[in-house]
Amino acid sequence: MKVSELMERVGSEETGRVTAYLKDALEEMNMTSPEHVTSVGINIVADQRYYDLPADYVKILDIRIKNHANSSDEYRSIPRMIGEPPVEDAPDSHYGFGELE
Amino acid sequence: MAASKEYAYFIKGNKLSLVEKDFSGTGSGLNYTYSAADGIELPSGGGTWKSPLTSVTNGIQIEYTHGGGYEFTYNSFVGYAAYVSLTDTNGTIAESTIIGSSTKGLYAIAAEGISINWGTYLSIGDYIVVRGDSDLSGLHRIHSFENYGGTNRAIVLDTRYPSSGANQRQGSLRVYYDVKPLLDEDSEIQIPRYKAVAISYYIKARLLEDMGKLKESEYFMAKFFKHLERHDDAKVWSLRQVMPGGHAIR
Repeated sequence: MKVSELMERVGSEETGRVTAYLKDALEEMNMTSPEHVTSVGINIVADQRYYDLPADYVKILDIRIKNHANSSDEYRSIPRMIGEPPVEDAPDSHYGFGELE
Repeated sequence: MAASKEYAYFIKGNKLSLVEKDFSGTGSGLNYTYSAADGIELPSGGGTWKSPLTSVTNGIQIEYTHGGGYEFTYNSFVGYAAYVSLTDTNGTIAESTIIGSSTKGLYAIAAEGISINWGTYLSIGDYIVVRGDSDLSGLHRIHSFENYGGTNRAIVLDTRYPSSGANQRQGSLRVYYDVKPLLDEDSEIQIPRYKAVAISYYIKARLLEDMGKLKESEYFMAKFFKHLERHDDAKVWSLRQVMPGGHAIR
């Protein structure tokens, strides 16, 4: 469907406003009913605890790690912790935040 | 064969925090070893959660949804094994290459190891979609081209990087061209038609909300969610049942 057809359906002639709400709608839709699904691979760095989430993410669907609970290089989903470990174990384990270093 | 490991994550602000259980001191990935002479040996790491113990290339895979407010095709891409570089205060993309002062603080992508003349695919002001780099995933506009080991081998994006200081990293990127963001009435919304109808309800709801017609707005917002629900239900062929929990009041 083109934006022009959408504008006729909602009875509006304000392109900028409809486009802005359209982008809101797409994000809302991807929260509840995933449509635009993609994935990104990130390198694990020893002693680095924090990693950037994808800049354009709306909802995280799954986080998989290589060799989690297997030794055959498979990617498997990892569990989410409740709370966080109290000890920052390495001097640069905050690397990634920048301002906290 | 790689050893089995145990990971967990938590989210802190806009960061993914990854921790690994330290089983060092024991063999075979177990959290203890036993011998008749010495008895049980516990791991020296104490089995505690720590920051990742070893580096793993492409070790994390994040699956996520994005807003999708642009048209592009998965067939039009270039740029494997590219350098992502932050143009620092001197505007350098690499030690030997100087970028103009107007591009300070912008992201740049430089092809490394492959000969790409970005000008063949792109023009200044065009939009690209980047995949394969967490910071840069998504839609960007081309600010300029720069020479980096060859003509037009680097592109500078109209995107500022958030943190201070220069940084450079190498990754396997895909740069999709032929990208059209949702800018005007001719733009095509790349979703199934049924969901596009749901979106028309959402926009109606927001327009009515602006007019102060809250009751009518709620009506259309409910229709939006109901429409999405019906679309998702149509993909499931079996009966959907929600069972009450073991401790539910019956």
